[in-house]
Amino acid sequence: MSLAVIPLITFFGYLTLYFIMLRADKSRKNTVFKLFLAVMLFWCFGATMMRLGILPSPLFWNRIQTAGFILSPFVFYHFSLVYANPYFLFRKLLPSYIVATILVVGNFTGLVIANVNMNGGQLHYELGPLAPVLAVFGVVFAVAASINIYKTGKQQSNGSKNNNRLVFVGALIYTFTSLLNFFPVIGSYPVDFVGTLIFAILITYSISKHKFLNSVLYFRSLLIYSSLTIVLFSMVILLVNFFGKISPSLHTYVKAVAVGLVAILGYHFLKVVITKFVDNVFYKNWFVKTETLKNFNQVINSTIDLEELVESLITTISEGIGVKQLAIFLTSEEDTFQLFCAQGHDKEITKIFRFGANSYLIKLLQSNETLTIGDLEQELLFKGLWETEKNQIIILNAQLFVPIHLMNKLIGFIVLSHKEEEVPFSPAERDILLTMASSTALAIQNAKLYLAAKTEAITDSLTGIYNHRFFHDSLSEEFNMARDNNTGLSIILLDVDMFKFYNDLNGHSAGDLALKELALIINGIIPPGAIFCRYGGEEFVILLPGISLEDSYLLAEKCRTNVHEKMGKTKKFLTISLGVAAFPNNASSKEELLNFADKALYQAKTTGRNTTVIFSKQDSDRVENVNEAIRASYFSTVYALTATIDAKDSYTHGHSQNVAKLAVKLGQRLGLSQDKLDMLGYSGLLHDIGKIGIPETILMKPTKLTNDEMAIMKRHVDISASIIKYAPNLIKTIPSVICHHERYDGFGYPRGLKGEAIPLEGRILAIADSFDAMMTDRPYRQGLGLEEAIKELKKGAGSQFDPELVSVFCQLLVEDK
Amino acid sequence: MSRLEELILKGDNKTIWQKYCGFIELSLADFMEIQKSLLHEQIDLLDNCQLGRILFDNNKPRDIDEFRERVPLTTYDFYAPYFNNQDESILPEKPEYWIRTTWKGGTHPFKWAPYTPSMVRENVKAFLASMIFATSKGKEKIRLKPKDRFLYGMAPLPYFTGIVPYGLNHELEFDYLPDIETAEKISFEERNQLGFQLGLEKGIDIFFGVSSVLLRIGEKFQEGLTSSKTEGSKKSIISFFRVLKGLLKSKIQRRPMLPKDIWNLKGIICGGTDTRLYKDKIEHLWGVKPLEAYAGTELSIVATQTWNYKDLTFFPDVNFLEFIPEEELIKCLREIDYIPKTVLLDEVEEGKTYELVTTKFKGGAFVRYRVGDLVKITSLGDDEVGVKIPQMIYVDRVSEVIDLSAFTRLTEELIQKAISSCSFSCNKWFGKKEINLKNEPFLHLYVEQSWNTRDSLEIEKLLHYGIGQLDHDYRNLETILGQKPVQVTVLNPGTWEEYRKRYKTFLPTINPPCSEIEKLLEISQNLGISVAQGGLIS
Repeated sequence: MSLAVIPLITFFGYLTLYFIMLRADKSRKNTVFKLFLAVMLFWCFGATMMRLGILPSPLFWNRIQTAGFILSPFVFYHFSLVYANPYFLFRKLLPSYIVATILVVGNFTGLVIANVNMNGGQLHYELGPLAPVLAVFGVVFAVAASINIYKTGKQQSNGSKNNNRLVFVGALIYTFTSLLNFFPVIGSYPVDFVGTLIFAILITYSISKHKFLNSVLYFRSLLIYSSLTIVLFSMVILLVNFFGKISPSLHTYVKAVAVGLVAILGYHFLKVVITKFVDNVFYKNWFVKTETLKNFNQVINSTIDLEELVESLITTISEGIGVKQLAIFLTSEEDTFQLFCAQGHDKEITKIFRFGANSYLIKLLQSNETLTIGDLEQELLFKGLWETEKNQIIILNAQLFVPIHLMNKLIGFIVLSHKEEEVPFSPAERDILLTMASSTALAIQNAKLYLAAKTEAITDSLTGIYNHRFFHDSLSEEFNMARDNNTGLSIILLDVDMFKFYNDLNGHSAGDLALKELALIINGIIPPGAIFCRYGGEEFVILLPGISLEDSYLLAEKCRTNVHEKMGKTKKFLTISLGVAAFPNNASSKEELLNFADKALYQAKTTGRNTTVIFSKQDSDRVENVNEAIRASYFSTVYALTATIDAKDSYTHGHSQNVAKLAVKLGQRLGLSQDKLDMLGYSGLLHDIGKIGIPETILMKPTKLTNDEMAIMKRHVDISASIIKYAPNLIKTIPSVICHHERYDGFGYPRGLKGEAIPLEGRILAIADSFDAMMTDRPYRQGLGLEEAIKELKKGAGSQFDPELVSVFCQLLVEDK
Repeated sequence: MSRLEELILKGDNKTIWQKYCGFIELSLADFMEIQKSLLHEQIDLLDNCQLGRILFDNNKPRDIDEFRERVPLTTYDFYAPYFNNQDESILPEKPEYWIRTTWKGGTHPFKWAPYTPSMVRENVKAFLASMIFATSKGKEKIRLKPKDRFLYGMAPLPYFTGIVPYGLNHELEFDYLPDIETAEKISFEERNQLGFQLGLEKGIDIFFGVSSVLLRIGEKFQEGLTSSKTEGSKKSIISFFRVLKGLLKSKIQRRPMLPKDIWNLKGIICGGTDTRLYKDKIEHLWGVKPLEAYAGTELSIVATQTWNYKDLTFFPDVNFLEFIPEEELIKCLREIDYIPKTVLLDEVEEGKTYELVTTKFKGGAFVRYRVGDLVKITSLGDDEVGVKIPQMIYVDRVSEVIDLSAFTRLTEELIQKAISSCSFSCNKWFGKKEINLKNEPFLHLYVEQSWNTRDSLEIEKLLHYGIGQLDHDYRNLETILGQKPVQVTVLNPGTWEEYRKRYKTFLPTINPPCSEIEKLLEISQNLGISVAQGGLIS
């Protein structure tokens, strides 16, 4: 009876394996493998029944056992073919099953085992005439199957090689021990079951350790309890046998109580030992992973830095679950989900990855359930996913999506690729990931808020680039680093040319837009690692760690030409001047570096603008002297220009000088500064300079101008501004020149400005210009007298002219009369 | 994402079905949602290219309604200047293939269509859906397997059908008969012949080809296994046994040997405008009903039958579908400048005929494109299979061409040339595609002579020869399929004049409406005894 324990244990071993395989997917190879296990169960069951002496007879159970024994190599061969190629041609298998059928029929007619009997628990049998045939075919097919499995493993990945090697070894042991049955002296002992048990253990180990057959197996409790049952069952049989032998007279109840007591006492101890053993052999890595996951909670509670938090989330998942590649997407301001951090992916490719809020993927993730790629592919609406999004999923090698929810709102999601073992994610792993995502959600949100506040503190709100504060922090940091590492540091300081006038002409909101556009242009040019900041107003600075002076100059020039071209395209006509300085080339401290860049910028500004200047000590000194000379040349320029227009239109001869004088007079009465009075004078002289660009036929026309001619005539204002733009230091006259035809009621030209929106100098010029025009003879009318002119001015006060200025001007006229 | 082969090996039929065939279970609302989502993506792509900016007039449509209102309906004439030179710089995405088709009646010999990699992928997925439907016996009953023997009887690259084998390789490996490399080097006839020879040796699981060819081969079997089947074949033992098995089967059933006695096909997919006409005969000969898929060079795969072989279901993710109702088409006939209105799939009505307008998804080039096909919406769903999407059948080409058995397309210009080359006095003619009693399509010419000098049979002979001289594909109809697809009805002199006086309307020369032909015949009869031959069947 005690020898029945071995086939019984083997039976339980295969039964456990069978239950494990019930959980595996229903692929063809798994189905055939289950068939093989069923045959082995048949074999073990027959042997156990036979050795236990169960009715009807040992011969009956032997026939059953032998049928399983005969079929096992053939079914194993079948499995090996399917394992190598699930769509092998059935005709390859046909001969083996024909032989098997003949042998099974032979078995039930006594041609394999002629006779069987059990004597005192000892098995005796006689081989029939077909036994040698079975021996030859059995060995041939079992060995062929083993080789098939080994060869298939060699063609597969490393993991499969190992697990196939173990199965190969097991199969050989099973073949060898089975062969021993053909020697009845050895075969009377269940040696073959020892071999098949070893085979079962090696298959189980391969399934657990190397995922043999790619089975999804979560059988820890199954393994523990089935092992416990087998050990306890065997122990009980041994104890019964033992008590029977040492004290045959002992009462059955006493024996039962003794066996029961030992079993109860042994149960807990055995459970602990088996659990430890199973966990050590099969689940060692799993426990390491669980520990890693546990530690993650501590990490998320101890950091507020978003990058640190997300990186630790990635590390934990990567180590805890064993994933090759993963990526985390978080909501961005534009309501899209932007890739925030990735591991194992090409950063350059994935940096632009995003999913729109209306994407089907996002809709599916709203449910707060993990989603496998298979789930996604099965979704009917998946077909509506954009190709760009599908490509992202492919590039990310996505296998599992884990949503990150906060208060029922999706704030991000994790994309996981294959696990290192290339097996699907278990439900337990999916649950853990979901829990991790939920517990991280609040920390991520807080970290995002913190990051937003931090970013806001160092960002210029208008342009979105770094601000003045960040520049100074960075300058100190980068300068120290450059000095310590001897790597060099350059600065480009840039200023928008004539920005004040741009603002005066177009309004401050247009000025703001222009600065934004400019920041965008430069941001697109500067290299990675450069720090671009708004220094203040229309002044910007670029900090270039590790970039030489020459390269910085080239970059500055690129910025300048790009701004010139692109701003020209959007009709903003803004240019920039740039000053470049570098450490250690021409500065020895950070203060000097900034100061020299500023000096170079000043030089660029005073030598014509829209230019780049590299700091040089000699040039800087020379610039100071040159400025004086330039100032002296203003007057000659202005007079030369005025003479040009006076020469063209004889009727306006002297008009420019008159307007200049009258405007300055009114300005003086209004208490304007000397600088402004100077500019007012120049404005008066230059206000009609644009008439150079008007055809003489219109300028000299004796009769009233037609509407079309008037439209052409009106263009002289813009032309004036375009001409003056090229005369350095007369730029300040542009606002008044361009506004001298604006009307106080807003019906003037060119821009229809109204009331105080018209610059004061412009309103002054308008009065001076009109008054002089009224007093002068024209081809189509006589000039007015002073009284009449004053009357006309007063008539236009509040509509054409500023009423207060008219009042002051008229008073002046009366006083001078 | 999983390849079909991996899923088949896993035996995951549910995923396979959902992934490739699941679209037939979409509600109409979900179908439209997919359409609109993908059109938005396409609008974005078009907005970033020259072609799109031309069509959008530099103003990107904000939504689908604006797209349909503002973007003009196009024909190939619009694309021809760019596509004839295969100008890729104007396209929304760089194409992987330039696919061509003959452009009969066009300004160039070919029409070209750019195919982006993602279009190819989707096209292959759609084709696989058709293959699964053709080979399965019901939902999730997948019978496709790796290494299935595939007799691919369609044109190779650069024709549209040539994309499929290349695309399929990424999803599932087939044993092509003959292999693709060989197939591309030999002619259409040789390919089919070699394919069937290999089929005798290896067996055939799937056939994809022109329905008329399959029918003709089947008929040849019926007439007795001809030399074309065995000529040059290796005559292996396997093919000998295969034929022997067929012979035995046919002898037992006391009938001539049919292809179904030799081969046990899993499925047949047929292209061609006239598949519907041949399907019963093909089933009789081959033992399997052919599955009809509706596709075209510029359209790619538009719709497919499912496993019940009834009407066709549209694919949601290949084209944005619009339909011009017949009433609008009639308005177009009357007013040349009239811009017809379109309806969407959720607005079509059962039993009505529409001209199809498509916008390609996935970076394709054709936008609101009128390929010139008429389709009929037969029902708003298929209860048997559980489809809730309107069902369609292909009706015909819109007026300008006559398509015969997917072999040739006859244009007005070609027929006119043929008539001019024949020695009879033709005053006016009309050509219409009709179906004869043998369910074969043919060109029915209604000819008015200046004076009745020749009878219809004489003219028929002349024209059959004349068209054959001008069109090689037409000649193939006789050489390959054994058809003489022209029939003539002579109208009495003065018929056209009388018609014009009476109805004062324009009548297209190619495919005029049946009602108008009946009027012409009535007038002709009243004018005297006509020499009519045949009659109107459809």
